[in-house]
Amino acid sequence: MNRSTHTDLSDPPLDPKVAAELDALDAALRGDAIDDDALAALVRDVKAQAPVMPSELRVQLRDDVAAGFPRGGAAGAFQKVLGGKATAPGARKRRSFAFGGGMAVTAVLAVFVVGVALTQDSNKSLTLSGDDAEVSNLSAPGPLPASVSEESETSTTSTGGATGSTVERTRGDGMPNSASASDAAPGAKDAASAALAAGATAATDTVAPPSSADFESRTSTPASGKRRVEQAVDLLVRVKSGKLDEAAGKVNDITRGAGGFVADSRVSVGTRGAGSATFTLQVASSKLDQAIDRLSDLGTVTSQNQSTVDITSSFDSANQRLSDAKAVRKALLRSLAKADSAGEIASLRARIADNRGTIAGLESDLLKLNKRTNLTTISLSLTAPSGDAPDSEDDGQWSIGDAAGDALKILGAVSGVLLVGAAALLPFAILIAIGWVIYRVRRKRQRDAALDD
Amino acid sequence: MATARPPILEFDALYRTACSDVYAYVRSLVGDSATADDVTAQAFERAYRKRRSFDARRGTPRQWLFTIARNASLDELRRRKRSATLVADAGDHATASATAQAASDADERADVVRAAIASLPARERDLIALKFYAGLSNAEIGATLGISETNAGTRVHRALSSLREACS
Repeated sequence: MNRSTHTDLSDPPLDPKVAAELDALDAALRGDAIDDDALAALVRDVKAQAPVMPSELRVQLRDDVAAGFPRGGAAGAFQKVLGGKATAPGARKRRSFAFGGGMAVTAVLAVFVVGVALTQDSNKSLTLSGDDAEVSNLSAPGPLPASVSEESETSTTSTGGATGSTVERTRGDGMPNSASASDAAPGAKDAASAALAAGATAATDTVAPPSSADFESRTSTPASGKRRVEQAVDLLVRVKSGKLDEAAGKVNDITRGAGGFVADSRVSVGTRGAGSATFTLQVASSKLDQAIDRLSDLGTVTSQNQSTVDITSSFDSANQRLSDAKAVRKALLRSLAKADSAGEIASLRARIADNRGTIAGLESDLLKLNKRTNLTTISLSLTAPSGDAPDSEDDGQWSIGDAAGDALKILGAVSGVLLVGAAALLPFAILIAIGWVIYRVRRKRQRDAALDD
Repeated sequence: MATARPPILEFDALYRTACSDVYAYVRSLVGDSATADDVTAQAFERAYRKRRSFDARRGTPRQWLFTIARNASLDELRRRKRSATLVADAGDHATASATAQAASDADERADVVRAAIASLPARERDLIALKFYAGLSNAEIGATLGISETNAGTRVHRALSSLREACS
């Protein structure tokens, strides 16, 4: 109870006389003898006027303190004065804890939701650096379902009477493509292809896997009674480092086995096993699926774009014009047989010569159209990463490294989301803090004002 | 580096040593006995609920308890919109003197002191109560009021001078 000091760094020291009187007051309050008899008497008299605590209240409070205010308290009586309802402290404590916990959970959820909303809005995916590392593309054991790991994109075009359809599937992260990768479980490849086709079909009725039969059932029957469909495939395959030559060599065999040929090829091999190769392949349309399957086995399919163009009308038109030209030729030959003047004969022969050229041209057009439908162009790209680069070729086997990598990805993504959310909510938190400070200051002033007479 | 664990507040001991003083202080602020009962109980319950938040670095347990009691009293005063009167009813303290038919010199002196206290402004009565009933040091009073120790000492001295003058 002793005054430690009467000085303060920010305040001037007390007047010595005042300090001495305060020291005497403290001594008198402690019961010590002081020289100032008047002050000693005043202290004694004022202390004698101290209100006495009622014994009932003393007993009640003693019991409450001993029991931890089980009746809600002081509570009891005070709440009656306030006209309120006494609450058991246990329940109040639990409610307080639940309220605090709820506020904390709500705050974290709010931060997370805002972060997700902002990151989704800006990136349309849970990516932090703009690369292709999506949260959903984890190196989980075994091949991923096509519906999860692949993007299917379909579109239709109609230009110049020809109807086109494309089916595209991409893998941007280098993860195994279960729809076509060789490391997929038996049957998984077909299932994935079926799923892809099903997804494409579900997207729109006009889009379907590249099958000429579907076109025939979907559109009006052509004049020739048979649909003519031109197909093209873009295929991007990633092979293991140092395996580019071997893969490129297999491309020729695969193409020949599919009744086709290599129209163009460019192979570029770099250092440390890296390299790339591009091929333009012509394969028999009837063996397209077989060719794609075997080419996919060369490595990991990272992108596949398959398109079809309906050229039936072009084919029918050329065929009709050829028939007309041949009919004209027959008529010209009949007229020539009946011609008797030299001038007429010369004129007819000239027209027959023109007609022959027309027929030859139309036959050539038909031949080209037949070739376009009988053969399918495959644009194949093979890439091999450097041996120094991290092995992006997932062998489909689960490992501790995969799990750690996935955990880091998730941690990074979640951290980023929380960071963005926290940054977005920071202004609100500052406003709340300012409001809380203002509330505290205002309450203190109101309490001080309560003593104003 | 291990941090020192804060001392656990011995609430039972604090209650035993301070309950009468808290009541006297609260009563001096709120006036009537019924309100003083409730506010005292409220103050102890608040303190009990907050006992884990007590920080010994910010003051003594006694000063912490009287800060809570003061806030509870001021909240009640605010709520009721009435200022405190130290002497509200005659039946609580100095009952013997009040009921005594023959007024002695001591009784007269008590009446004078009581009247002197009642005549003080509320802020000075608060300081007198904190000093005489709560038994706080000037540093503790400063912490309770949110002012410096020197400022608290100055105010206590001023209140004491007013009281002495009123008693003379």
